[in-house]
Amino acid sequence: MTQKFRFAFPSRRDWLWVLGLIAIGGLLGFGLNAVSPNGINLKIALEPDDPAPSPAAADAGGISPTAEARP
Amino acid sequence: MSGNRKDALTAWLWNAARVTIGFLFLLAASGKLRDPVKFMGGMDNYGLVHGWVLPLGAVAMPGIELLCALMLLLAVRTRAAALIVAGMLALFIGAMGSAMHRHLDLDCSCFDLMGADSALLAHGPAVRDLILTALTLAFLILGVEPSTVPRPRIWRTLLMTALFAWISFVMLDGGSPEWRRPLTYTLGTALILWMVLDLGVHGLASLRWGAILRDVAILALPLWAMFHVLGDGAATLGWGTIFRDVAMVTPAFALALFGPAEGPGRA
Repeated sequence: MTQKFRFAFPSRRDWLWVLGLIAIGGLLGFGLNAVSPNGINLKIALEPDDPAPSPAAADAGGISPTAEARP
Repeated sequence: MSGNRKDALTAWLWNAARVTIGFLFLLAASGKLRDPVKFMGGMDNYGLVHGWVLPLGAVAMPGIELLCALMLLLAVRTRAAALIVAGMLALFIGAMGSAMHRHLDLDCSCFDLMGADSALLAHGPAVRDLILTALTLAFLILGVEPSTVPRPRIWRTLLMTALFAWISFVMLDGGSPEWRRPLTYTLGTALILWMVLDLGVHGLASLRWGAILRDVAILALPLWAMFHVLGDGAATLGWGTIFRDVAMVTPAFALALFGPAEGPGRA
């Protein structure tokens, strides 16, 4: 049986499927990266680079006053 | 041209575009999954994404590509999968155009067929391209009414999923080396048994040999040439890579806007 082809803009259901596929695909990517021997170590990759010391921290000899105030 | 012939031609073009784009995205995803760190470096070279977006994007994008490839190859929710593929291609074209505008000379990081070093791909590029062509045609033939008798959809879907898993994780080295060989034997044996059982039940005469030969005659040479170009080392960014993606985005939009109806209960 031949299928009927017709032009149609994506429906709301199609857009919901788009969001769902992106979410599931993203999770699949994370899972495959976790089991891959060459995977990206996200713990290290997501660590912020060494931030530049704030002026206040520089004045205090490299120790942030806010850090001193912590218990 | 009569209505039926026109519908049949449209269906054939739609299926050929669906399988070809699905297979290309399968290859693209496999290359990125094999070496995500290298892909992240390639993304970084474009200089468009920074900070936490870079590693998260490099991890998520191959998964989305792989899932969309599977949906296109199995003809499940084709409109949604084609919309994502078209959006990604538009993003890639924009990124490549931006890099060319800034006169950056870099590898486009799109396909990495050269990294695959399994035994099947060790016989030279011509044999590798021939295998990829045969697999693409197998997907098309398995997925598009290969017989004169109605086979259950689940039958073909499972067969194609086994083929899909074998290509992703065995042929293109997408998984761990320890279980590659056992998986090859398991999936290979299952595929052969399945085909023998299928032909035993339905008979050799059930296959539409004319349609199969027509597909092979029309598509084999262009597919082989396409894989040969893609596998020819790292693709330096340029008008060639942009033209390639424009050539893919056009049928991807056509798949998203012009396809068979996908109702609530239907794939």
